[in-house]
Amino acid sequence: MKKANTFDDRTHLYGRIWGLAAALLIISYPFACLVIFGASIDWSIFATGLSIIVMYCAVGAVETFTYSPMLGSGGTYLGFVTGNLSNLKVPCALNCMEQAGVEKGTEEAEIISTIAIAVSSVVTMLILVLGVILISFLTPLFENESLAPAFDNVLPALFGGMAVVYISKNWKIAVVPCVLMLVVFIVSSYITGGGELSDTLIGVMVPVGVIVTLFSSRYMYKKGWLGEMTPIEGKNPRADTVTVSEKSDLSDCAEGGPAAEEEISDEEKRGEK
Amino acid sequence: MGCLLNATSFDKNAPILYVLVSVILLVVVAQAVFFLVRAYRRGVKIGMEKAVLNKTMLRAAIFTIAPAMAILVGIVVLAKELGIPLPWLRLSVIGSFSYETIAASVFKGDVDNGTVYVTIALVMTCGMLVSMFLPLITGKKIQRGLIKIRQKDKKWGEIFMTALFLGMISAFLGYIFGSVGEGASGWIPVCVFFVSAVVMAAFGGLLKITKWKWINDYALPVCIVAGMAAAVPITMLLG
Repeated sequence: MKKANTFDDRTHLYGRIWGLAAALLIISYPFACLVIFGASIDWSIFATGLSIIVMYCAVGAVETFTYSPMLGSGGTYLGFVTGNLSNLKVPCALNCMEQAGVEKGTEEAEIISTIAIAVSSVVTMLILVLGVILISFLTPLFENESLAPAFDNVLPALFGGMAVVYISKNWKIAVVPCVLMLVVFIVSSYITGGGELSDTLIGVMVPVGVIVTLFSSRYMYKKGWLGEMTPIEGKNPRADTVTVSEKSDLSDCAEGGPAAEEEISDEEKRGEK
Repeated sequence: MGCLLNATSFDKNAPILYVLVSVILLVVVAQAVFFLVRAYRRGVKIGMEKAVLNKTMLRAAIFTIAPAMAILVGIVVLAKELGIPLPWLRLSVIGSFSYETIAASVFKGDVDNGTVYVTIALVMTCGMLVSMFLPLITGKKIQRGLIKIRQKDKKWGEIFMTALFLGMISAFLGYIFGSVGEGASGWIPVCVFFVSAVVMAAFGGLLKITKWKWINDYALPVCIVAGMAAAVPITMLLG
């Protein structure tokens, strides 16, 4: 067996071990209940859910290829176990990377993303544990009809703030996908006379949006239209100051270069600074 | 092996279910702590400032509060049909409120026996199989692919990453407008979106004028809370 030498290699190794353990435990829940209650599986009810299972498996595949590059290695393994990706983990990681001023795709970004997702997961767990303990007190509050709109609108509230930051800094890249997505969702809404279709569409349109953005930005890049672009990473005047060195780029980790070693000598650290 | 309970004594809030869920969640928390400690140590080793790493933890914690409250509401809603342990497990780990709600709807009626309960739990679990296993298989290849892109052309590598994020944000921008066809009430999320955007723009302006860097830590969480709070009067007006 090939030895996992670099930090990046070990991240993948540990990620797979923890991910597999967590997945097996999660899968075991229905079977444990089956034994506990002496129950069986109602295959007619299960068959009713088959189309939903297939659809969400497809969404899961798409999410894997869409979100993994954004979250980095550690963030991916952790994020896909703890869930709530689009409504919490991905925006949280994005916000933290933006605020820390790290260049995405570097080892610093990987570290910030992993820390953000790990802390977010633990805080979510704590809030949910507290909520479960206090559920009898909280239920009347959460079922209060006048408060319901607040909890129904977390996504617009979250993406409103994010859109200002990201779109304003990269409007050239954003214009094509934003216009396309607005047209698709608004037209579909008027055709169906409601918003039911948008809940299904979003699973498909996230990867479509990503692919369209990649193609359009590649075209603009080739044409030289993005020459003066300021990427959201690395040049954020509001961000904290971080030592971002070429040495700590993930590419070095992949090749087992100096920065990829788990142990970094003091000379190397001084060299980076 | 004898059954711990029989079908007639089915209880969707049985204490043993709480124990099961707690054990699973403890393992997941242990994984989060393991990766947190490992990433923190690595950050220090490669010369990142501890202050930056500590601030990241604080930011992530503050950011999480409002969305986590919304997830808690999801547990409350699903708990009526399924009891507390199953929604608690599903929404604490890989699940999402939208999927769990749809999966729970495969059975119409009162979940009053173990067979129905187990089948619903199985549907919920099977829908997430790909999300659980595919990242374990493809994670390394995807990350190595990104590294190759950056090695080939660093500038394009930066644009590539930016494009990924903007692709996702553009899809959710469209999604927020996805109900406008139903009339005035369909504009509620759009108004909430703009309230949040305006608050963020105001923070940006304030930051430029005052140079108060600490504003960064709270800007997005405050935008989320402001947007959610604004949803109440907006719904009264348009709902």
